[in-house]
Amino acid sequence: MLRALFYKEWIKLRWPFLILGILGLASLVQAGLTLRYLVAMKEVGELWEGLIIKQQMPYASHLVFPQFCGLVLGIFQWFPETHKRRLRLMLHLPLREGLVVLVVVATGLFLTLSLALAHGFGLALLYGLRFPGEIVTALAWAWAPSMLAGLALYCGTAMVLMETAWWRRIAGALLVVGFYRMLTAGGPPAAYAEALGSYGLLTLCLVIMLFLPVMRAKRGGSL
Amino acid sequence: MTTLSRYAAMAFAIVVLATFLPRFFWQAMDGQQERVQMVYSSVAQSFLFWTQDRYGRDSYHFETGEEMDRRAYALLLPFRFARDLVRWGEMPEQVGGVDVNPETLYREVQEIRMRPRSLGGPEIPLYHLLEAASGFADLEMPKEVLRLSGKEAVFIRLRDGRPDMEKSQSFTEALERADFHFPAKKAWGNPTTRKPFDWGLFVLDARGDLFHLMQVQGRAVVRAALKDFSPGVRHVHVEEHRGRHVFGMLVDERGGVYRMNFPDYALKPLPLKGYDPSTMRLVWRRDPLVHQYTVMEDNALTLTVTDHGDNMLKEKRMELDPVRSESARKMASFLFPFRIFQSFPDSGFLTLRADVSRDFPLVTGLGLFSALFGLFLWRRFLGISWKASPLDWLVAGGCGFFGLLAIIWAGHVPARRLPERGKA
Repeated sequence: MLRALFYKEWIKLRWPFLILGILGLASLVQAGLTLRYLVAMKEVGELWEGLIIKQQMPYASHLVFPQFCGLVLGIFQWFPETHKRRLRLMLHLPLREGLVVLVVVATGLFLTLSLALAHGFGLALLYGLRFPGEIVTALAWAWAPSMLAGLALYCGTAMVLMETAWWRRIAGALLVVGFYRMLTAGGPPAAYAEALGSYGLLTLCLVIMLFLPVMRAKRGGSL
Repeated sequence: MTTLSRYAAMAFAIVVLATFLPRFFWQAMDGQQERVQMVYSSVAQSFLFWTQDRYGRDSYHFETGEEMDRRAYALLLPFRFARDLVRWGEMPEQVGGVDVNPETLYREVQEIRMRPRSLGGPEIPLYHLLEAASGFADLEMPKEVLRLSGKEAVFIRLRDGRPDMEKSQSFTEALERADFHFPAKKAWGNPTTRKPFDWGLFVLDARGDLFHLMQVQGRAVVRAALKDFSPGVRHVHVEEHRGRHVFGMLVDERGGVYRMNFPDYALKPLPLKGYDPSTMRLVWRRDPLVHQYTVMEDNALTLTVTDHGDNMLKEKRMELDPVRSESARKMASFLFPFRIFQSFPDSGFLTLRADVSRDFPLVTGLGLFSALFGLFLWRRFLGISWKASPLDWLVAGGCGFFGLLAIIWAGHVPARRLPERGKA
């Protein structure tokens, strides 16, 4: 039954996953070309100065990819459930509600995370071929909060689509946007290094809370 | 699971609300402060003030309040406005009994500014070590970067990202001969070519000793700057100046601040009481006659004037109009029992640090009580028993209005499915 449930989610997400994979690949190609252009056009010392002293991030625009993945997969996975009470139908499967929600959410998070990880690994490889480990480590530190923002956007989208009350959807969306702003507040690459665990814990809270709107959708909730 | 999920939602909401609501509140309520600069005039032997009001209007006046024009202000500060005075032909030949030569004045006047933010923050542990004696007039950025965080010094060539083994070995040996212990904890320098010469890096070794590392004609010159310095080094602000009076400023782990004198690295504690480098800004200005230390706090400005032997001559503290009014602070204490900061003045990291409101404890208590009463009214409105979810009372009582809003947003989930409408 669990395998069937996972397969059902995969069928919903396979095309968006594939398209996002292609977009990720395109983003990596562009990142590689940008780096090649910077090396060719800029004086090499200037490029290193920017990376080390000014802590510039030529890869910054590519860090949006995990967030985009979270948003798209969240919409494609949960929007169909809002039609014709499909979510309620799913919750009437002969499995514990907790397990059903866990499998469905874990599938979405797993796919978001795998796309983000593959993209992050590709970026690290691109920079690792030309720069020393310290610069690649900085890239990894910059990627981590972006990945958390992706997971937060996935959970936020799921929560907004599943909620039963409009005011709660709007309030929830505002809170998730607030958290997204906290995770993308800028600064040097390793700005989140000291408190990444706290931000991760907060993202975990957002994942755990997804059970709440699902239960509200099933049982009906009070104000 | 529903209960856990509900409290996870509350925790998430509380953190986000405690980050943003106080920020929005103070964006709306913060007042505007006049810009004030307090300086000491060795000519008038008194403090002078420049203020700029919220409309950008400048005014200059004495300590007594007597106003003057901009030209008179400049004439009283010959070391600060030397170029203007030379242009007007008004440069005095002597000030306070000391001969003034406009040609060499730039060597005598030095200014160092220190901000809390410069004390800490994320950095990439690769360093640009400039060539200090290339034989050319201008400094050049190096063609390699230095890694000191391993068991040896490694120069990485910029053109291909590979280590320069020969140079790395020569620098490692030079550092080890000077009793340097790898790996380096931190290194400070001033990696720019916009300076008259280069003083290289000040490197903190694995034991906490401070070394001065320079590159002279491709070779390492290493000197032990500080050995067995008990408070420990937190930060070194390196600044090359033609006068070569000091290497820069040093901040220790206990918050003590010192001038590191040239050429013996002797530390001279700054004659400042109550200066906290983690929260206050400092401007040190040296001229041929005195040292001026300006400490800037949120609502106060302190100027300490000493002679070159660091004997205090004058000191003045000036309270500025508070940016935040008392009524706004009281309102904030009522609404927000704590707030969460992402950034702090002395760090470039984006953390999540809670700061409990301590301004008006009674008002904060009243706010928490009001949140509890709000929860009581809300439950009464919904017809929920006061015994249900007892932890909610703790959330509202501990987190005030953040908790109340989080509880309202998280809502309740009935234990069983509600009967369908019309069938009840």
